[in-house]
Amino acid sequence: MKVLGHLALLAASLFVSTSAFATHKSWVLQHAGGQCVFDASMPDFGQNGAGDYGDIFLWNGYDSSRSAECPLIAANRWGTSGTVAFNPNRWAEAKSAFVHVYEGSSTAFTCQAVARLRVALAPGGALYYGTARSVSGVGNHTLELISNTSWGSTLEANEQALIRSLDYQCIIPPNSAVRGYGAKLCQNWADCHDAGARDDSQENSTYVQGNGADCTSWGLETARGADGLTINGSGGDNRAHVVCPVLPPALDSYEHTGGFIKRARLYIAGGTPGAGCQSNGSCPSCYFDWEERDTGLEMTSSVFTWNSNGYLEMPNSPLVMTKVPSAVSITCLAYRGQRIRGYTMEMSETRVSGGQ
Amino acid sequence: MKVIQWVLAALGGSTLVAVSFNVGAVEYNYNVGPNYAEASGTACRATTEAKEYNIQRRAGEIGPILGSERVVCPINRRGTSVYGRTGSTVNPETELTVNSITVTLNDSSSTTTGSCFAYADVLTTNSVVFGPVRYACATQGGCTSANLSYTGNNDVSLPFPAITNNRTVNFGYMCDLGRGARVLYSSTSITPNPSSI
Repeated sequence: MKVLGHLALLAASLFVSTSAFATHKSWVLQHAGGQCVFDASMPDFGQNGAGDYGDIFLWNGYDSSRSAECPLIAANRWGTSGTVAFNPNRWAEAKSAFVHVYEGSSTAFTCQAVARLRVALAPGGALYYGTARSVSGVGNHTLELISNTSWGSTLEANEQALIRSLDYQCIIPPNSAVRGYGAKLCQNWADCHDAGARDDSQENSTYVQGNGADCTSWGLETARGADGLTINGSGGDNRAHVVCPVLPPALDSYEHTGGFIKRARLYIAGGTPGAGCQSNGSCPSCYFDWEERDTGLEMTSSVFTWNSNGYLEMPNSPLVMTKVPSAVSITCLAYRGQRIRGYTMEMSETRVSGGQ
Repeated sequence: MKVIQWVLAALGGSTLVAVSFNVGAVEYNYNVGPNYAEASGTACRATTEAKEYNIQRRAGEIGPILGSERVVCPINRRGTSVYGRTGSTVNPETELTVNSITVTLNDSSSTTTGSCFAYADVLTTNSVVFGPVRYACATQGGCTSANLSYTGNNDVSLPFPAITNNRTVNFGYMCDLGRGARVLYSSTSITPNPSSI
């Protein structure tokens, strides 16, 4: 019985340890590269002469390297009221910080995390830097800004302070792009202790809402404001390319495969969308546009169809992304006078299997 | 886990079963909010792509290069409900309850100022609403009138305007930045839909 007792204690301790180190350790915040912005913009010099913006990625089409900021949108971090209860941690403790890039030249592609943290109570405050990381060689790469659980430098030393802002500052070489970026912000424990098995089960979902004013464009002048993004320029076929980066809900610990989108609606006003616009050609032509992270393949959905309640909607719901996406956006070719108000959709969330 | 299961199977003791049950019963509901949306000033954009020419960004800040410029700062809340929750309310994807918006401004000029106000597109009426303007000043939370001589960092708290039916798909804040004024960051507290589980 003594041996059995020892075995019992061993088994119990193993179980406690394994259970405590199960999945769901971090909130994964993903962004399309098109959410990045240049420090100094040159709208006339973008990819293929199209402009700096209006793309799912942030392309540097200029002939020299340019500095850009990729702001981390820190939202959807939740605490739990379960048997282990804790409030949302809004700190910079992270398991991973990633930038998916395309390197199109022989120049190094370099990114560095830069944060403002609430180390002192006063507003504003100092900037805290992680270690700059680089990658070289033509093709797709993922830059990991955290090495051995450390941001490095002053950011690592202060990572348990509340995030006021977090930017990835990248030096984008010529003909290169930020494809997507994100972070795995630890849920409750320092460095997340993320040793659990991966689980891609799409068991949950939630609603997502995005703003029309977050869309960018090229081709015709557009105006950004309280009512969204309005196409007000003229010329050519009087259509503008508009891209609205989709910010997914916070995911469970990993960038997951098999995500789905349902009930997508893109709210449109102005111009002449309306009943019959698909047959007379006046509907904006809009669809989901996403890139598979590991293959670099760009994928598109069916073109949205008009609903008389004032929005375009995705047909053939749900849309399933079988591979991990590096970026997701809604892309439109819309006419002068039309206005993108914003979008909503239902997006999958992965398994909640406990842990901290 | 396979090793543990093997040990449990080999022993089959009620004590072991009890231990595994208790530990396995730990639950994480992920329903404690609110939804805090925090973003750098670099997430703001000019009112047109052409006006981006007059915008300068650095990590953690955005401001005009010459003269003054308005920037539009959409607030992204990602999911509108708590983790893994859909349904249970009438319009969970578009309803919005903002508890607070705090924007931190830097003003390095004693002759110009920076100010901000909240906005929302009203989904059901296709109109827009605006909150009152708050100026950077020495008072925490901002002032209702401009104080050009003020310099430094401080927060402005932006009252959020009432929205008919509380439904929107486009909301955020705008800032009018004089030369020397910058948006550093913002923090927004949003109630998830539904507000209680």
